[in-house]
Amino acid sequence: MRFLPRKKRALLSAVGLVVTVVIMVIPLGPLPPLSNLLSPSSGVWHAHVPQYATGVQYLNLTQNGSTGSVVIYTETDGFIGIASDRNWSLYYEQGFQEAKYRLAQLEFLKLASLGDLSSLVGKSALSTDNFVRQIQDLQVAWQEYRGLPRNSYTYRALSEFVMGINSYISSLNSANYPLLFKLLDYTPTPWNVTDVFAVQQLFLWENSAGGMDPIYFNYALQKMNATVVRALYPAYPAGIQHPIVPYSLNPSVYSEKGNMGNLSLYTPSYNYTSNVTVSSSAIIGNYSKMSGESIPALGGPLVGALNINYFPFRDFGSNNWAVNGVRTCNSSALIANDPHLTTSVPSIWMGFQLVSPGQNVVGVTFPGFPGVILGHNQDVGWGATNGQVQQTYFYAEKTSASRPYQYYMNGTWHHFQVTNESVPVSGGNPESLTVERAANGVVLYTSPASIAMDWTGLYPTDEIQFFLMIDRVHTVNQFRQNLTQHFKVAIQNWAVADSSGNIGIFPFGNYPVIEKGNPRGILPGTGQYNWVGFIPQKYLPYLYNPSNGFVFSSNQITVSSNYPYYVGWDYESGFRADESYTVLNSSSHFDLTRMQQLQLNVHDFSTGVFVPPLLKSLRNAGLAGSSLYANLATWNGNFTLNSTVASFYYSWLYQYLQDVFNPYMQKYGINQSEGLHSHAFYVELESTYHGPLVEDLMNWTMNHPDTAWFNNPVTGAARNASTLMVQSFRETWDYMNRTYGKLSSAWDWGNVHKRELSSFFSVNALNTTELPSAGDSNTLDASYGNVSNFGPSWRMTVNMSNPLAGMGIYPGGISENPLSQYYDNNFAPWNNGVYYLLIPYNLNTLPAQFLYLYRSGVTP
Amino acid sequence: MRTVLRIIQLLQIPVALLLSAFADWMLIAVSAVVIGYFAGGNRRESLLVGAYSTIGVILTIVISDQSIGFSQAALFTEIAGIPGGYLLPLILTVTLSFLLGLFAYLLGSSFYFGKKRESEVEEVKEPVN
Repeated sequence: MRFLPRKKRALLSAVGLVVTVVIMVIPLGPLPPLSNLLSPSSGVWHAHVPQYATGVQYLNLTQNGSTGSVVIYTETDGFIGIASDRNWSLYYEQGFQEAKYRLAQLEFLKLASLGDLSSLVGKSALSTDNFVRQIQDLQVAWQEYRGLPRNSYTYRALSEFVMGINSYISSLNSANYPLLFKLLDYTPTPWNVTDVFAVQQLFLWENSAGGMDPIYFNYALQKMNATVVRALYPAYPAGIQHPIVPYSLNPSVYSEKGNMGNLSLYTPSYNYTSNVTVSSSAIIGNYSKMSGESIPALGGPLVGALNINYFPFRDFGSNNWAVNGVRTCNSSALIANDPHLTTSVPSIWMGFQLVSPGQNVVGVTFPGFPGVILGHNQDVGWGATNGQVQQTYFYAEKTSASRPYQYYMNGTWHHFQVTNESVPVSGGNPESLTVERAANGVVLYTSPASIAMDWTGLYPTDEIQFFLMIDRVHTVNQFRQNLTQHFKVAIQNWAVADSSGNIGIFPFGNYPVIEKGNPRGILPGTGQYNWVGFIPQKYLPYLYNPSNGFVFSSNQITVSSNYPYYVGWDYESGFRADESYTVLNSSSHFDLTRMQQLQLNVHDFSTGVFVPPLLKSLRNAGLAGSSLYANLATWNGNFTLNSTVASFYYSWLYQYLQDVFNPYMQKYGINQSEGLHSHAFYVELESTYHGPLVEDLMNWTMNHPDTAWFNNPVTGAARNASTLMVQSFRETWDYMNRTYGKLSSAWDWGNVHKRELSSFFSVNALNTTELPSAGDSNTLDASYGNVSNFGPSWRMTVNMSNPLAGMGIYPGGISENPLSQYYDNNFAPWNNGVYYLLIPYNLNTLPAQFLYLYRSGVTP
Repeated sequence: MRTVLRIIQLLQIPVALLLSAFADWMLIAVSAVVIGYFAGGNRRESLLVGAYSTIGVILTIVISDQSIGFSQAALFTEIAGIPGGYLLPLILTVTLSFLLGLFAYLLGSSFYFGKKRESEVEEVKEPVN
């Protein structure tokens, strides 16, 4: 066979070459060009894993004629110690280290905070971006930035921190970008101080309790009459409650007149004038994405596989407590904290010990934040749980088609403050967005009515300053002062202990006050229902060295029922709080070991409430002869790995809840698009017991087992607690047999219930393997859902008489790179209840600087 | 003469290695064009130069890799929902580098400066091994 003639060969080979090159250089759908993607020197074949070698590194940083000596000590537990003789070089290095190990996470957080996710992942992120822009994250961040004195400690710390981030970014070439950047063809951009404030705003939003609940609950207020609302949704839950600040321990904050007497918490203050079903469901459907009640999948890139956890800071529940000498039987005060956030890889936390003149603090911080947010220094230890205080109020603005961009308030027409935004969208044209802001909030929806949301986070505050300042405090009272001055939004229950044996808990912040109406639903926007201020500081609930010797919180109700101000009603079921209260109140001689045992407690308090009446009902129904009955009767209520009855109880309670309340949802036409499964209408067990209905169930079962509220509201069939418990028992028995076979070890809780660390970017391929897990959503060692991916995202216990022996752990590892051995190396130890020394003071390898302020004569 | 030409063609291996390691791997087409221009060739030699290009590229991956690049390629396919680990990226990389070398060499050889040799070469039968 002859070789082709020259001309023909030239033509054909040129065509072949061009075709090959074209295939290589054009983007293939969501993927970048193959020439980039497969490039041996910079594409997927070239992996850059920032080396995390344990040990010590010394370096000098010079800036504007100042030289900072820096010592970096890295540990296998993922904690990075940074000691410097200059404050500026400390924060610079912290920024550098955060970028080094978490660059992709930082960039995703920044884009999410700026409302720019669509520019990366396409149109599917548009609703999230729009919402972030509607709540004016960036504008508020700019206001906070402008309000920060340039000579302040905070400004300097933030400036240095972002310089450190940028220094790392500029040190990279595209070949060394994280894999996700290569797949998305993304180039990281330099950070500035406002970006940090924007990330702070995202954190504040996601930790502001209440969220969109009033939008949902207005539906119940309109559909149900006041008697039903009062029975199903009491403003103050009946049953067992252990408030964080009960009247008995601090009556002084209960002495004001308050506003509770003026509010109408069982009737709507605003009704849609059009068809209620259509209108409210339209709004709710639209807001479900924004509120985080359902997280949409991003369909765009990588055949739908790549996503982002839109709500990375979202707090699902947490525990903290502190005990003093009354409970330790000596002069020591101890603190424990485990915030329940998504347990992801990479973790939402990074662990640091930060040492510089005047401070030696160790604990965790969010990527994108300088300093330490939760932790301890040589004098004070602190932890936080979500305060569950309502900081979002909704208003239906009065508008007119003849008066565009205006709203009616206090007798006159006002112009909305209008901002026109252009949202860049990857693979498409920019989308325009008009944001309207009234005096009582930002308009989130314009049809069928203009609904505005007022949120305490719409106004500039300086929580980051608080985070930096508390790293340096010496007493509980100094902590409290900083809290009073700087922490206003996303109210947390801050439990604090100091080395002098003092303890306290301070759910401080801006609690909005209105004079009338129902803040549980939508309020008229005409002015009379606007905020008139915040609860005065001296009436904010708190405890300082209470007589019982402990403070505690697990997202339960903040105050007793006679507290004069409305503070919200979005609380946890209280089972975790009940458990910790029971143990703390009945124990003494607390030490670090007992604190850890309590943190790892897997006893479900609800079993003590429901199992006895269940057993009685089974006996009455002639079902006492079964082996399952015998197991239930002898069960201690612990959700251990080998408990078969735990699996049954878990499913049974879910079934019981559904059997009681689903008919109500059916009767009032509450379906998925109308908020079913949201807080007020929570009839699920898969993820949590959150919501008021399970509290009703507890109260009715314990105190009113024959109440008519057990009757089926649809059919009118008479029911009571006993008949329903037996019915749900039978249903659960069938379900368990269908799902797991006959009663055997297949029913073991460890076979039914697992934990995993899910990808921060919602890429399933990057999840960890599942591990059998003890605990459930009601236990202090909380593990929500059958395959749990949220729970104690950080555990810390410290005896402030010996803070060097403080211990902690966060699941996952320091590295965001799945190819690193430090990606998930702490997952199994964390799941097994292991704690690490936060400051490895017993190791000869620890440089002396890290014992500054603990040992005399040591300088940073 | 033939040995010299073979050596020239073999140069595509280190050149492809260097280009893909330190520059843009698509430049292996340029080197293949140049080699084709100077070496001329037949069908078998074209295939060989395509293979040399591939060898150079794969050597770059293997040398710089220490197995972590293959792991990352496998991770990429997992993220994208493509089965087979790093096989698809590897097949694509091999195929594209081969095609670049092959077509570019053919193109270069079409303009071979030594007309005489090409006609000779065209008449040479495939060697029997």
